[in-house]
Amino acid sequence: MERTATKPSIESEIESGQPGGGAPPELDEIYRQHHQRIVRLCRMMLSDADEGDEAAQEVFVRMLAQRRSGVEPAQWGAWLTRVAINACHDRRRSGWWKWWRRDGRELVDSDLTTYRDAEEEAITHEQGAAIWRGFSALSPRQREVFVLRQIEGWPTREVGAALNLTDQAVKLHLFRAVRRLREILRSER
Amino acid sequence: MNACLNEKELTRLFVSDAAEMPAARAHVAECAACASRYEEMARDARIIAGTIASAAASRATLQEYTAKRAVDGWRSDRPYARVAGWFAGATAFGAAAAIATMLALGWRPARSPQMASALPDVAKTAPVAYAQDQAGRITFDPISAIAYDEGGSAAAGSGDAIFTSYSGDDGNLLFCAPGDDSGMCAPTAGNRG
Repeated sequence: MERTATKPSIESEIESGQPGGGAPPELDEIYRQHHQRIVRLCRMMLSDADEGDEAAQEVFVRMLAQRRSGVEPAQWGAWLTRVAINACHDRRRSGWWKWWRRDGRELVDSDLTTYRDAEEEAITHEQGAAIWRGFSALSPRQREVFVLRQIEGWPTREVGAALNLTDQAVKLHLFRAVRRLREILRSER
Repeated sequence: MNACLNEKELTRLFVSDAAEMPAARAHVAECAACASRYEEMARDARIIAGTIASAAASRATLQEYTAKRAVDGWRSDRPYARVAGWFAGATAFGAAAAIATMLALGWRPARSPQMASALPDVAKTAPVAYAQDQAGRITFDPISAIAYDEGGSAAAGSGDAIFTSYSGDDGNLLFCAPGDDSGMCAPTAGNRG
């Protein structure tokens, strides 16, 4: 299967599940289908490339363990997303000191497929860096909510369920994140 | 709702679900100015989301941004890190200043007051102790920690011990005073020597 540049949503993944009890997909196929998205998700959640990559590896290790356990999730995409969120939570809780670590690994040009659009092309390198810095400076909750709501396209209720937040809390975090990031974008224009 | 939405209300509308804030939605649908501002907000959100997603998808871009952030971090991104840095710096400076002050006042780390007062006594008494030693009154064997009497026989054998040492079960060095034959110091205990 070729890598796709489209942004898979949680709804489409649920719809593409196999409720009819067909043959479970091969692990290799699941990996190729979701690897890019999970890596990107973890990097955004942790706002760090190295930490995100390690968290994504953990996710796929758990996928192997889940397959070996014989209990097959109804939708692997949704399952992987939830596991990724939990893995990022665990990693942040246990390794807060790693925030001080700023010497990344050697650069490996393993760029994932992006989905830039015409609007984004207008963003200069400096603006992009400023936006990323502003995003990284958000609280972890604000980052998670922004990623799941605005980038992954999840509805408010699902975001709340995944992060164990009320709908109002989700909206409040998103409100603050959007205001802060817009301020940064405006100041860079 | 007739009045135009301010920035805060517009953002609240943007983050709300479709069924919420019907009056505000109706206003935006009718007011061209608010509709334009709302569209601008949605466009900004798309740009931001796209930029973040693209950065996260590209390791090279992310590393570049992160490296830049590390330079700028002390200025803006991590106020807690800045506070921690100030605190650590102030602590180090305070410790250095305290040590410098103590040195200036004459304090020397190698000699505590007790040691400084004790050293002259040792210097005075050492020759006397050596002379007594030579006279054969008491001889100390530093290796076995056994005291000998004038006759030179070991205390463990003769029972004339001034001090007799033995090692207890836990390996600690213990001492029996002369005439103390009770308990662990009893001659039959097998601990002497």
